[in-house]
Amino acid sequence: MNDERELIELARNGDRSAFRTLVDSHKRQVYYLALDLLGNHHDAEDLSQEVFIKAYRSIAHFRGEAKFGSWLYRITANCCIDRRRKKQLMTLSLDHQENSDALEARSLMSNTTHPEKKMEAQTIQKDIEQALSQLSPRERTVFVLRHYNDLSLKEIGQMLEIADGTVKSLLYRAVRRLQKELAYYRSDLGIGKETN
Amino acid sequence: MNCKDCEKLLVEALYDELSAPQKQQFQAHIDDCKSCREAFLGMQATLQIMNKRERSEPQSAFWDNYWDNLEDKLEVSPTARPKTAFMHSWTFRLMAAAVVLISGIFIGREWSSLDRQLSEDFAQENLVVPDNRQNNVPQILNNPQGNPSFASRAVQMRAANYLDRSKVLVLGLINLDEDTDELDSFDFSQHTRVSNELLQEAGYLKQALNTPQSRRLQSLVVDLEAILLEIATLSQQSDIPSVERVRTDVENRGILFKINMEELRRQLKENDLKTQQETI
Repeated sequence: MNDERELIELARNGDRSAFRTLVDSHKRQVYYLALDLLGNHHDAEDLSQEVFIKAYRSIAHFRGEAKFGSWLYRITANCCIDRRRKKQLMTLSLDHQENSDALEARSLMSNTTHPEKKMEAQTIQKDIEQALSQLSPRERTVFVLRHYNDLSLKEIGQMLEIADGTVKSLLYRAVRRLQKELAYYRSDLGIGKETN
Repeated sequence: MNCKDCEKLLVEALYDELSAPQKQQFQAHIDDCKSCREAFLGMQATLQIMNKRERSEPQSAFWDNYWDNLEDKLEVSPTARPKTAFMHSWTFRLMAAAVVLISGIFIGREWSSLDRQLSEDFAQENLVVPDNRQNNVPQILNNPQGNPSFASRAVQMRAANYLDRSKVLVLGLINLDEDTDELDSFDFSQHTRVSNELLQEAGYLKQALNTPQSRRLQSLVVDLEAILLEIATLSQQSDIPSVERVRTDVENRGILFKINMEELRRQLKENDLKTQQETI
């Protein structure tokens, strides 16, 4: 961590290579958080770079009270919330396209060779993405930070500067909404579907 | 522990964030209470389904080129300079205060000269500038000579006032955060009251702006009227879906953009007027 502080100090003074080292250390975390929050590669790529540009512009104001990684997470979460709010106003067809992109990207990387299993896996991924897209920006942010990034409720509250009670309330609402959206799968947690 | 207490701990229980005593109490309750047990197991099952989500891994070229792509963008993004000791000093603060004070005096003088100029115009016509906020009587009726220049300016002023107030109202509403706890008990009575006042004003303005030169402004008043109607019919408390509908309508109709454009036009007109007066 001391090394990181030195790098931050150098970056503050305009040392581009120090900033590059910081980017290399954190780019995957930032990208994957953006991907979890936005649901597709293109937006995640664009947003992760926006985060580093913002960090570069404002690194002079980073006081070092939090970890550099947490600071980047916070910028990422806030940028994603803004972006998703704007995107919520877009048409359903575009949302559908986004989900299709995510699905296609995953299907290309799928190692499954059996067509039936491949199709089933694709359907589950599509339904999960669809369920996530039903959450409000803040519900999704809290859920993703807790469920996929393993931050505690307290850490999420500190990062987003909201009360612990609000974090719990958002997470509760998120899980309940996901439960409703994925009710189809609940009869068989082996990810089979209800046969009624 | 009762069911309400149990519900409050559900999220922490799902992610194993309960303290040992809480965990014991929670477990004891769900062992006894079928509905709480089902709620907990249902949510737990949902999280297991969410665990099936797979992240797509970008190709290695993406990571290889990451810095190069970023660096291109950084070229046009200068880093913020850290505050120097000078910026913390009393000299700097005094200088900043002086700049603000001088700017304030300058703006005040400019503003009052514009105000004086308008007052003189009205005085020449033996008339008084009306109080737009309270008086709903069409201003043309107050003009004994029926001077079209005066009437037009009074309507423009009244329209400007209507747009300003509507903008504040709409901005306040669309910037509300639906995810905060405070909104659960948010009181919209003030919003509905102001909306109703503005709707009355819209009724007058629609007629008063019925001239070929004011078509665009009239259309904006009508667009805003639709938004104001939605706001006026908000429930007194926590009407989140309706707020969301207002936001969408404001966005779809480009209301804030149109208001900003109208403000810009107004400003340009005032500047032109001022220049003409100075030339004369």
